[in-house]
Amino acid sequence: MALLGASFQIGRSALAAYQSAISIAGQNIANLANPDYARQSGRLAALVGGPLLGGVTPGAGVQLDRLRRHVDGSLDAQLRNAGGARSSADTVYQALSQLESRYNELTDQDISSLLATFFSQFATLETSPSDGASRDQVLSTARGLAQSVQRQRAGILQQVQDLNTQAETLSEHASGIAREIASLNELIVRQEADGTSIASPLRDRRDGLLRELSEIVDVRVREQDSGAVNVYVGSTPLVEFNRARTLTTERVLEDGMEIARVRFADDGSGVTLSGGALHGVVTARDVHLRGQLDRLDQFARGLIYEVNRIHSTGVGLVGYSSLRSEHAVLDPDAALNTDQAGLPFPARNGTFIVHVRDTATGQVITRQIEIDLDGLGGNDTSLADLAEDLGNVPGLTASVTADNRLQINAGNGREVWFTEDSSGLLAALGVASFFSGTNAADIRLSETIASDPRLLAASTSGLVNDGGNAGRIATLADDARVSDLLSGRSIAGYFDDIVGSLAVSTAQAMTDFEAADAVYSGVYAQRESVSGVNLDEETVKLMEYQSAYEGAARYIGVLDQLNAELLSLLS
Amino acid sequence: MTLAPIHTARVSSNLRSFNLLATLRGSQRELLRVQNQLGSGLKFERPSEDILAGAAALRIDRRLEVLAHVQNNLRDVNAALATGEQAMQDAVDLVQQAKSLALQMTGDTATPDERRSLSAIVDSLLEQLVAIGNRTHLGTYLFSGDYGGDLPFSIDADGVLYRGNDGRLETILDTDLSHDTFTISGAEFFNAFSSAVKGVVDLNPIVTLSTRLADLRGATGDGVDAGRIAVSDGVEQREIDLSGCDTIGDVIDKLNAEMPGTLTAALVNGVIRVASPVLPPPAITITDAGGGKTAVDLGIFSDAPVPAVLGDDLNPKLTPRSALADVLGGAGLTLEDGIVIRNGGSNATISFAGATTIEDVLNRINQADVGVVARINETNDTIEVLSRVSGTDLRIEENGGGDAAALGIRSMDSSTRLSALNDGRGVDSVDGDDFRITTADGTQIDIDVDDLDLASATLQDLLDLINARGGGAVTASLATVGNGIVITDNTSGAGTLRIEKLNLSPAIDSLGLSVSAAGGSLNGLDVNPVRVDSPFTALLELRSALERDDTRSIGFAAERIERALDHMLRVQGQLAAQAGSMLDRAVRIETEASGTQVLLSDVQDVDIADAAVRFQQVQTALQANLAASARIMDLSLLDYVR
Repeated sequence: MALLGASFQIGRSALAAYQSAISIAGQNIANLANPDYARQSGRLAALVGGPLLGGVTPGAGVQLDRLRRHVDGSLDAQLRNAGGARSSADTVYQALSQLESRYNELTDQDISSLLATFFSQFATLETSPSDGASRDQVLSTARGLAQSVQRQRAGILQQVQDLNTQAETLSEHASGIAREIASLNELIVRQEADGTSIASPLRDRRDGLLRELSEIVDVRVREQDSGAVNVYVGSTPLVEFNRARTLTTERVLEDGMEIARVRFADDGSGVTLSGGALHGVVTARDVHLRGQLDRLDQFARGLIYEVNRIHSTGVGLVGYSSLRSEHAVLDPDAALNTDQAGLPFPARNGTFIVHVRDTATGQVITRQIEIDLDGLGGNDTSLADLAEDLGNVPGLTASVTADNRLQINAGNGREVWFTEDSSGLLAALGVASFFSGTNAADIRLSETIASDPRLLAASTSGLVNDGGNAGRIATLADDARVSDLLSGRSIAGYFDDIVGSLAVSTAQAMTDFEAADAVYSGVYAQRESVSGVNLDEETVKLMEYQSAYEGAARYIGVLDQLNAELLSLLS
Repeated sequence: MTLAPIHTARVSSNLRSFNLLATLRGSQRELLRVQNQLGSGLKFERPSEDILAGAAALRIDRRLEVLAHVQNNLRDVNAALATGEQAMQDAVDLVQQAKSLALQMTGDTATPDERRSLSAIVDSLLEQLVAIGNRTHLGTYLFSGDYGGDLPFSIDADGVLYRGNDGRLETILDTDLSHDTFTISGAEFFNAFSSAVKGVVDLNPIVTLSTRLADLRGATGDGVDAGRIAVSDGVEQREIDLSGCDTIGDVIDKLNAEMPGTLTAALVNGVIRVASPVLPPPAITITDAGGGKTAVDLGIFSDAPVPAVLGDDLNPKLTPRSALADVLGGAGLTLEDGIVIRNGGSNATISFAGATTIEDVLNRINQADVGVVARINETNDTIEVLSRVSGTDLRIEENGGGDAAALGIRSMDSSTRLSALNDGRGVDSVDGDDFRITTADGTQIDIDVDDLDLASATLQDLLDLINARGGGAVTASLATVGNGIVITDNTSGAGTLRIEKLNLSPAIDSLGLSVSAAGGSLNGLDVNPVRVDSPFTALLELRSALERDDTRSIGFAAERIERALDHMLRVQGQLAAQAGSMLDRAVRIETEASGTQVLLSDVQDVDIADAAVRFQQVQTALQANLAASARIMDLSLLDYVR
């Protein structure tokens, strides 16, 4: 009977072992679609011992001696890195793609078309300078162009703010993940404290969270002997066992723009980012969008300055009875090309001609005004000097206002205009300007011109049919008319460069994303080959275990029959 | 989404789903792209989709915008040129009618009444001609130059006033954005300005520290191109960049700041002088650096060592702001007496008191409202005065001094050629002596004007001849009040100074000396009035001559009409040539626009057949993918487990 008992034990162990094996297969099948799950398998081992039968000991049955999680730590780390790189590239591409859509180039409703129309209408004005409709058309297009540039900038700024918000959301999300990882660490350590148990579901969840975290911020993971993992951003710990640090964002003003900087909440130290969506957000915002803003500002600055340089040296159907410079200086006694003066546009050594017309008689007197800005002799021209020189022109009074602007007043019945400004000072001061403002944020049609289109300086001579100055502005469309403010490019050429460089950046971002995605896919396939569940495999196992179980059950049945036979001998 | 590679040991269900999703997304994205291409007709909608083609499309698009803009301008300009050509033809036709009429009336066949009655027809022709002069195109006067404003031509009591100028309207008419003119002013076509009253005086302003480099002709006459020069004192050489200099004062400042050793620069009598105050003087050289010619332009080039460099005359242009004190090489002009301008019925005595600049002088003249325009001449060396009124005589006279002559704008000046007198008809003479001057003491001075070369001689030559022949008995000069020759009797006696013709010579009529003596002098008439040589003048003269039945004047008017007609036909031909050239250009631009449009289409437009095929291919691939995936996903060993 003892022998039969031992045999029963073998059958019983087999039933138990295959039941467990079937459960493992069932667990694998149940988690078939769980992306965090790592497949498990049990190791069947023959039980040593059992009765001596005919001189042999076949063993004591079978047992499932170890549950194995199929994970490769190296592959998981690679997958996290690849996921972070892909996420970063995707974020950059999305941002640039959105920005490119905003420019709307290659259509008839883009800034470059407006720019072409703007210059073309100046050419039309050249042929009909006294025509009110032509003047209105120029002003209307200029207004539209300025608004488009402003809108474009506002759109980019909005995108910057959206990315700030995204950075905040991602930081909060990453903090939440870090906290959950810390909790899981504690649970895993507790569950695996006996040294034999594997807290597979908890580890699966933690691995999933680590992958999710790495798609936000690039992390390095160090598993401890206890089963806990420490997580680092760069070399700074984010999670240590059951302690998680929180990421936060701080809004700071940089170049007049609100920027959300990612920091550790506890000590305010900066977070070094080299991958993940946060890195993509920061790259898109700080490199691409801010670069675009700078270029757009520079474009607007060049447009304003170059148009104003010509416009300020012409005359409309009427001259100005009074003028006030748009831009103030910081110090009215400082040379006008110095930082102490602080003009937003460059001025250089040169001269300009001021004309004063008696409106009753039409008589014009002209005077040459010297702008000494050669830095020699200690007599460089300041705003105060300029006001004094202009005040000496018959028929004019000029002064520096309380807010350090140049004020010019023509005497009663007189009007004033300027020509031949080799110094660029009139445009630098914003005198007789066409555009106001200094960049893409504040570019606009001069209110003075807008309120009296007759002041639109189409003429160089003051004659009604002379549209020469409008013609000079029209030729700014020429690629040969380059500007120092636009890196030696023409206005239209510089804008083409903006669009072209954005296209290159966007295409590059797409290429980067595709490359990162290919790497991710490759690593994902490798990870899946190790950890992924295959239904057919599990079914095969299931069938195998089922057969083994049936065999064991039948074996017990046979033993039972043997047992019955034996018992029948006794009856 | 990239597909996962298939060289893996195991294929998990997740991996299968991953790849299925990736292929589905890829196919659907490609389908959407082709669908967009078919919908928009474009290969790409954003430059980043095809960087090279996108950049090319941007460039081509901009070129097309320029071409469209130039095409628009050419269309407008060709319309304006056609209108201008028609107006010119109408004007030519009118003047030809006047010419026929004048030629008919110069003969003996017409009676005085017929001539007088034809003056009304001439009057009508004049009005029609003025109306043509005032024609517009799209609201802009065709012949007003760039003056604009009021009617360019109007008839008043004196004649026909031209308010326009000799400017031309211009616009961008080629793809390099270069400008071309497309109108011809009334000053050009109708010759509506008189020839300029200008002297041979080069007002030659002196260079000052304020003189702009842009206003200098430079030592070589090519202007001053400010760049780098090399200055050496024999010990050290320094390169000095003058490109930031705008005025001569800037140049002097820069030289003084950067020249080596003890060298100093100063402006001395309008030229730059570079020297050293120390002895012995250094060996100075000044040369150009960097391939420029600044030192040459500034007249201070000296590659041979010299103790001091005294620059050449930089010959500045006369500008409105040139000070009267700075002209004539620094000698200056003092205008104390003023001038008198007579133009038809308009007279003005113009004072230059308080005037300090050339602009002041021009303003005083222009503000006198006597139908003249005063301006700096085209070569920027003197001023000139032109009459705007056809049919009147413009006279610019002295007002008791020499201001008109000093400014070079006296209409009958010592430098006036005899051949130019009497509206270009010169001085008539006969063989032998032409006139005799008899003084109070009975001295007779016989003058044969043919002793002078009448083609080239000036009034001064005639005055010199009379003075020489008079041997001191008379003094011939030009009037200091008014114009005309004045012959003053220097003798005393019972007789009376008189001048008389010899050999029936008309010379004294031609010289305006057919006058009686007054107060011991013969005050001749002004025989060099300036007349606008226009068809308006011709018609006014013809009308007047017909009214007066003056066949000689009718002949003169006919000559003027002939000249005017020749001139008008010549200018009309120029405009016609320009119109033809613009039409050719329009065709060229149109061809380029078409070619560029084709180029853009090649770059940007989708090949519909190709796109349709691709659409079909992608659709088929998607269908196959869906079918295969559905089968694979549906297939499981479980299906076979009983």
